[in-house]
Amino acid sequence: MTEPLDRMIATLRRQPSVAEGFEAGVMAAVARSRRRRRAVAPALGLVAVAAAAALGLDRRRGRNIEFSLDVPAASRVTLVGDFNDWDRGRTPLVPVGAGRWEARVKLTRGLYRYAYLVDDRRWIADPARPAPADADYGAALSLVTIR
Amino acid sequence: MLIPAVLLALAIQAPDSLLRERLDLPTARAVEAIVDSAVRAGLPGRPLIQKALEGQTKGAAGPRIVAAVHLLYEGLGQARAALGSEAADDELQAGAIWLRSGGTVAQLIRMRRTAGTRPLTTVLTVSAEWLGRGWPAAEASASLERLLRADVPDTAFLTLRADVDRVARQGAAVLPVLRERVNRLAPVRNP
Repeated sequence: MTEPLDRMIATLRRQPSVAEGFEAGVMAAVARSRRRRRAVAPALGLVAVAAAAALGLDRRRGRNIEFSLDVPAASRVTLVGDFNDWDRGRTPLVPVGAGRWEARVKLTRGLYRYAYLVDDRRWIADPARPAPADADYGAALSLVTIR
Repeated sequence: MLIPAVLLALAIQAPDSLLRERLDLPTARAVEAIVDSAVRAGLPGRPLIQKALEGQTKGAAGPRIVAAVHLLYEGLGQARAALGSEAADDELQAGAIWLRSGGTVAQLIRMRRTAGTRPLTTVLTVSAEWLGRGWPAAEASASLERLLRADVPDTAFLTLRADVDRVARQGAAVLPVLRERVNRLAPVRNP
């Protein structure tokens, strides 16, 4: 009666074993997987860096465009348009003497609408680049195209 | 891996997030919906966003902003239909400006046929200005077709624009000068 039980106990006490080479095969597969991950990660990183650099380079490759306005009585003139999200304060012009105000903006290829804001209350179109009157918001507007 | 991904994220602007920052929520949502429709239709979204931001800066009320953005969306669509699916974003914007200035889709189509693959951005932007100065659209369109057939380059358009500006600043009538210069660049052929 106890003999089958003894055999069962003896089997359970025996150390487990695997086929020869099995463990080596598993470790080789793990090593291959690690090598693949190590190869792909830098490639993905390079792609991301290249994309970021390309986007940055595109901006750096833009042309410097000079904007100027003769407004002798003004105390503040800003340039506001598509190239600065119509932010009133982002691109101030600098007074250069004799009532002339100037700014330089780097623009990439495209068509941009803009206007000058004088003393935070008066919109003036660029005399050098007037555009059809803006029917949408009723204020002066200018266009510049960068090719 | 994380650093390049962050760099990429920083390099890519998210102008539509400006809509939520600068507009009230109902207006921002309405504009976003128009931008989504435009982008799905293959039209540029950035001009629409900038049109909305312009309205906010100039103190326009929400409904006016939405109306202006929608009008531009329609203009871009009409310009694309007239100028073709290969037209660049700035060409579409110029086409929309031409239409808004009194030009027609039929005129754009004829100009595209005459110009072939030549980009029309400069031609349309400059001539839209002249429409704004009172040049009748039908006459303008016919003159532009003549200039395009004569292969007058963009630089000549820009020179002509500078000449017309000078005349305007001197207080003289612009249209006679414009007509005379156009005839000089591309004389009318007698039948």
